[in-house]
Amino acid sequence: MRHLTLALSLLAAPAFAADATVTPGNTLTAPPAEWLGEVPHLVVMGTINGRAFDLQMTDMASAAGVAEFAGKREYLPGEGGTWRYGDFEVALKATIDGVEKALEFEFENHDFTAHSLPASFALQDKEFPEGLLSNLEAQLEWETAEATVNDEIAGWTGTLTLTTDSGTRDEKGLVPDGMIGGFVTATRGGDTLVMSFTVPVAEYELDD
Amino acid sequence: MNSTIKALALCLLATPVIADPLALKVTAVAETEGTSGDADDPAIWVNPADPAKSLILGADKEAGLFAYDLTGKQVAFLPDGRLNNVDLRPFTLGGRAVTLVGSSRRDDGAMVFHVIEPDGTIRQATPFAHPAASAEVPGTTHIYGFAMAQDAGGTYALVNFKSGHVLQYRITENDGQLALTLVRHWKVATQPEGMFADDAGGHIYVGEEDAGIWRYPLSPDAAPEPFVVDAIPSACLPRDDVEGLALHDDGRARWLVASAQGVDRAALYRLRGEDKPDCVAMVEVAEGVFDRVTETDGLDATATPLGPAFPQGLLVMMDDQNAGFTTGFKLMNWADIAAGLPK
Repeated sequence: MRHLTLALSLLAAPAFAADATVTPGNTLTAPPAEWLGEVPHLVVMGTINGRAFDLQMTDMASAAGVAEFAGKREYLPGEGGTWRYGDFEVALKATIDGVEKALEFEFENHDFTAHSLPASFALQDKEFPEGLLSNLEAQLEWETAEATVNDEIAGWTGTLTLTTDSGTRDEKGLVPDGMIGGFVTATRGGDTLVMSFTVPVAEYELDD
Repeated sequence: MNSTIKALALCLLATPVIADPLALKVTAVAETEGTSGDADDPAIWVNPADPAKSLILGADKEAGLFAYDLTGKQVAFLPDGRLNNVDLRPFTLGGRAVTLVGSSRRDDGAMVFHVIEPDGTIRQATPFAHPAASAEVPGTTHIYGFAMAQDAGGTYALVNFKSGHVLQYRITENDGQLALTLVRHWKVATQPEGMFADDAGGHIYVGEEDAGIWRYPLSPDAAPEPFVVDAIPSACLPRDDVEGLALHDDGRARWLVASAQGVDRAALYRLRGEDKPDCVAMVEVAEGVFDRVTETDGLDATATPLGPAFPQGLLVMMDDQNAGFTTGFKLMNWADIAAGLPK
């Protein structure tokens, strides 16, 4: 039955994809135990949807193959015409082992400005959660001659430690620049993930 | 489960078992120059004087409207805002036969219109922008999909919103000036986007991204009673989203082409009057001279022969992943697809 075959091949997609994402010249032999500091960087070690990651861009300025590394804040309508800071993204576009890969990590809270940093947020499923809670969605996109990867992976548990979130507020209280830095340890089914990042912010979005 | 999805699911359960769709694999014969913005929806303008010099219009929801020739070379760019969907119809403007091109613009919630002259030059219509929302229809939020339609009663703009509303406007002109009048509206339960009008068949098709495809009568005088074409999950739409919708009609067979984004394919449904369309084939655009089509968004098709490269017409599909982290559109020779379809 062709329909069944298609369904099975979808379920099995990670098994035949060009899965591993390994940067050249890696020096860390184990995942970091804490945030790696203010120098712009992205380290992702572990698995996401079964795909192995050993991505060590410990100094983005010298990392090979990077087309774009940018953070973005998203604001949602608050009370009385204000905006609340409900979401930020860490996005990387880079050629890794000859494959153009786009990775995006998105975190949500009811209002990140409500918390003094550093702050630790427990990862859970609820969108835009209040208090010291957040959620994480990892988006992976790349294609090879043999396969396409297009994953949106949520449902993580663990911790986001937000260490820095800088920038200049405009008259509406929106911050279009600065840096966001943090450290993540997370699990999801058989996946384990450790991530450290400090990303420059170049834009914000209003979700009106 | 909301009521629409439940209704779709119940209809699906009640549908007789039909043959599984054919799995067709073709390759692109051309691709457009990539955009670093976010390509979304194409429309094909057939050059009446020389079909081989037809154009692909491509909406970029971060930039504006691109025009490409049939080799994929960019021939024009109109930086007219965050255009989401685009469609076109022949139109008489100021007594002259032109093509009217409409788009949904996210910046200001407007429908905007361009004019293609018979020689292929593109300019803004006047007035250029028209509000998509109407005071007669409360609750519309976030303009999204767009299509055009035509019947004996006139030419129409169809616009939908993330809130699920679909508004149908009649387009008229006076001495070259466009005017739009709301003639009908309805609502689907969840976010729609892709739409197209089968003018000859008298139907409007609306894709509800996470739920399936609906069909409505085109005439604004008819009640917008929905008819379920397909519901997610199905053989042709195994998972969401359903995105762009188009028609390929060569006079012998009529095909509804639907973008099955969740599986990177175009689903083909045979249209036979008022019957429920049969899902016949799933088209994969595989790696060839050009890379594969992935996460396709909008699409368009024509059965008009467009020169030796496209003797039975053309399928254009948005492609989300291109070299240099760009997006763009792939062009497929419909003859390659037709070779695998039942006669």
